[in-house]
Amino acid sequence: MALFESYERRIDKINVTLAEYGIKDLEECKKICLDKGIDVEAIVKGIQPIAFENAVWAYTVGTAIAIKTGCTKAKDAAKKIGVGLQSFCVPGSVAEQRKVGLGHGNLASMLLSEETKCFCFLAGHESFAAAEGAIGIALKANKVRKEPLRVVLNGLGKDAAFIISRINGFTYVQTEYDYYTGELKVIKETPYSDGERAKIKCYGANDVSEGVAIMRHENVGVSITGNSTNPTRFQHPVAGTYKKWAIDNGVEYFSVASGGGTGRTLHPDNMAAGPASYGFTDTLGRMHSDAQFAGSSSVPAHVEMMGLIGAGNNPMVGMSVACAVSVEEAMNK
Amino acid sequence: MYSTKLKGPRYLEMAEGYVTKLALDENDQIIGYSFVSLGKMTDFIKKGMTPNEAYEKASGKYGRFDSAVKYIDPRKE
Repeated sequence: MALFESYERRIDKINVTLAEYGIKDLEECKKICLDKGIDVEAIVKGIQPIAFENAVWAYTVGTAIAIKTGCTKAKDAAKKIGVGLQSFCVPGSVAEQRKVGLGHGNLASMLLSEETKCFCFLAGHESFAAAEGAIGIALKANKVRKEPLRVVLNGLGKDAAFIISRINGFTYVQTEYDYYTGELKVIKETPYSDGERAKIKCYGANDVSEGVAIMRHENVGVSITGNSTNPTRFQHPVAGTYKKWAIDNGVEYFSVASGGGTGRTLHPDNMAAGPASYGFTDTLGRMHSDAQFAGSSSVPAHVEMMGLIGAGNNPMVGMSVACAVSVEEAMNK
Repeated sequence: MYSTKLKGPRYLEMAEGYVTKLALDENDQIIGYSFVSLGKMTDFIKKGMTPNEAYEKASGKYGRFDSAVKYIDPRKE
């Protein structure tokens, strides 16, 4: 039996990458990791037990490259792990084309970097429930960070933000945007619980301009756009506009477009462009994102289908962070 | 979901199923609810479970149901 799923379609490209870093084969990768006391399989399967074998091997390759190149900081190790993931992308697939592997590495690196102060979920509010898993992952990065990462939610609609905060126990921040001066005023902040969850701030915007003002107010360093509700009306335009502002003003901002396959069809009222509207969220993502994911946030088989590896995108963020953290720990022993 | 100006919103049926209780905080605002999934309950009864047991097994909670100040029946109160 082959070592992992779709072995024949992947191995040539993997060997090219390994050769670049002077590693003989996959077995050597495994040995490099185990010699440093890093059990990649335990990390990967510990985060998502149903992850495929190729996920384990992809992280083994990435971790080995990180060790071999002598990374001592988790944020540098994360980037090398991305190189390992990228080598597993099936040639010609969506994942390969979007450079999802490298994107995952860069995202983990940003989450681990002290320069990133704030992580924002930019979403239609309905998907906030699904975002919860990812929030947990982001908080994991705090283990190696000196300053904890702030997590905020920014979505369309003040009433939705209010209800979501109340039901989930987040802190609701009511804002008012002055369209005349472009100023954002915070009217009140109401925490709806007293635990960890209350540290998460939830904002509701009336439109794109207010959404961008919220991003500036919170000094967002990394954001993930959801892809379920209002993608073309809110989250992609906000990310794109904020990106432009960030470039103009020398602010570090890393935008991730998450979710979706090769492209999602929009609601009937967004379908005026006919066939051109198919895959429009994909197009928007390509316009502003530093990294674009492909496939499900949780289902391994769907991500595998997109040509990456068999692990959900959200668990993968956790795996990259966890592997990078263990490299830092092992190298500084 | 149903709402009047006089009494405010009452969640009667949500995606998860038939709403049995609403959880309110100290400002009388809804912070969660308990529900019973009618589809699941019917399946359990079909397989021979007693209705009461099936009712319990098909019930669930959403939101901060446990930290509520008071609970109301959305159909009667």
